[in-house]
Amino acid sequence: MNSIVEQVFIFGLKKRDKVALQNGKSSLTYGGLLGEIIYARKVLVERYHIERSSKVILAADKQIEFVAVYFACHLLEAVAVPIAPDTNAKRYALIKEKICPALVVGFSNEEELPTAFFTDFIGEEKITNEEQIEFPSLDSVADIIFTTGTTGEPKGVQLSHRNIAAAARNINAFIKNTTDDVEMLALPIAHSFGLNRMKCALSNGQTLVLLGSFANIKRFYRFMGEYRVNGFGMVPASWALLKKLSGDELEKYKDNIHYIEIGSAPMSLEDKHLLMDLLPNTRLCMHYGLTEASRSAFMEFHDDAEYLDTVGKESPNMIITVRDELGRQLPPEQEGEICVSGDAVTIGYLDLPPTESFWGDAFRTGDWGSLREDGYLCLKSRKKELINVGGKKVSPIEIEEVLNSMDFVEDCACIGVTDPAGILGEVVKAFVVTESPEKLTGEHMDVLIGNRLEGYKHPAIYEQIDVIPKTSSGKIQRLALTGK
Amino acid sequence: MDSLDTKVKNIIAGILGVSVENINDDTAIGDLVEWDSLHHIHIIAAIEKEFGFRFTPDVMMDLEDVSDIVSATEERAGK
Repeated sequence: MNSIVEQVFIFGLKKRDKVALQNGKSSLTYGGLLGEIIYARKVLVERYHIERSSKVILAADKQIEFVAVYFACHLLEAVAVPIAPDTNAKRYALIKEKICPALVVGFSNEEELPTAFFTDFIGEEKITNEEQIEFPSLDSVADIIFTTGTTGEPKGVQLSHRNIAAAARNINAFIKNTTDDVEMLALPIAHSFGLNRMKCALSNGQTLVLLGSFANIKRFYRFMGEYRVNGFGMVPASWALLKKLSGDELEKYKDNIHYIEIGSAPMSLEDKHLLMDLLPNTRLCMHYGLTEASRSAFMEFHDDAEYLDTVGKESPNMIITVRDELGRQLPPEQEGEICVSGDAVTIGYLDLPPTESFWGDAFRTGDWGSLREDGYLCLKSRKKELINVGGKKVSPIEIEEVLNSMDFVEDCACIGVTDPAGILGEVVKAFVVTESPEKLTGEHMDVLIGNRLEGYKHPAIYEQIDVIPKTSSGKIQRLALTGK
Repeated sequence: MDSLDTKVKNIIAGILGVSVENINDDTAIGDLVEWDSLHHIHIIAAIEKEFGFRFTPDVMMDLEDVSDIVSATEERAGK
């Protein structure tokens, strides 16, 4: 197995003129991309003294320079830490404290650390086929991806070059991608799903068409035709938005779209059937997985039409087991914690002993479910109390801390409720104990919360409540609030 | 009194949490990282509320940038 960056180079040196990235009107060939990566490596070393194991925070914006700097970090065996450009100040500070980065790229507010901008990396070095390029060891850390921990404190998931290469190999094998595929990337690249789509496509020699967001529906359909896009990744909220903004328009592309990868949040049976009806010849591949164990299970709606109420079977090269509280493997049909093994599974969390999150080599997902006799995985519940807003995971505790800091809030609790607009799956609902209920309007609260929380974390619904139900130890009983 | 153009840009900037100077006629939907699906829905809903009309799906499908949103609003506001 070769690292992702090595695969990009192997393909790029053979097919220099093929378009790797299309961003608006500008495109970059594989030859150009390799040149940009080599140039970015030079800038990282000569100007910012980045070396093996240095950690580099990258504002993960969907632009060609991000891709070049990301792979340049890999080439140097430095650790890329891609985070959302709109990360709130508290989370950003915590991440910085945890990793002590040698460089921050793309954040203009950074005042303490060496900072660069993506424009600093615009340039191209010529490379020859004979040039000896040193590629990273598969066992070194490639990325640290920060996920939302249940307490709201970000958890750093360390992924080795072997992990990310194995994940891309597994995903491409299941979806059956070929080098001729042209994929549109409209997902945020700061999250595992979008970042993985980029790695899958470029390591496979495909063309990637960058689109800011599914919200730009006009451009989405224009690019479909203009660049002969034949596949894309989406979260269920993207599909809800496509439906709302364009009805059944996607059906017109049924002969062009070879594959869609879906993930990050549950999709209703109704939507699965609708997609199958609109796109009868498309591979509709839905995954179940976590940043820690990318795409643990997969299903294809047409092939698995009888099993749409499951999350599919284990992905190629992944092993799923269900275990009890002592880590003992349970027989089929018995419920327990879903655990995943395989070379795509994280090498561990930053600064956390593996004993807390692994049974042997099996990663403990924290999710609850059972395996059927025929190998299909049934997901019963998420053990963690995270709220899933359109595929983005939100810790209720992080929001509660912000609300509790307001002088008129005596106490509060947040839960996920079904999005009344039918787009995002879940939205945040806040129950607030207060003597000033008139202040609990969305508009007023949005102003008070401001940039302390990213937009998707702002509660969509507020309700005044007399008392927050709690256990004798003071833990919020969120389940008691779900029926309200 | 603010023009319709300014009002629409202020709504967009307010919802995205960015300065209105960042919102130009040719700013495309999704150009700014803050302009994701969730914020787009909020922008559409806020404009509909402010100007008292509903965007139909065929109009929404034709919106690519800020100038499109302003034009579509101008055509429908107050009718």
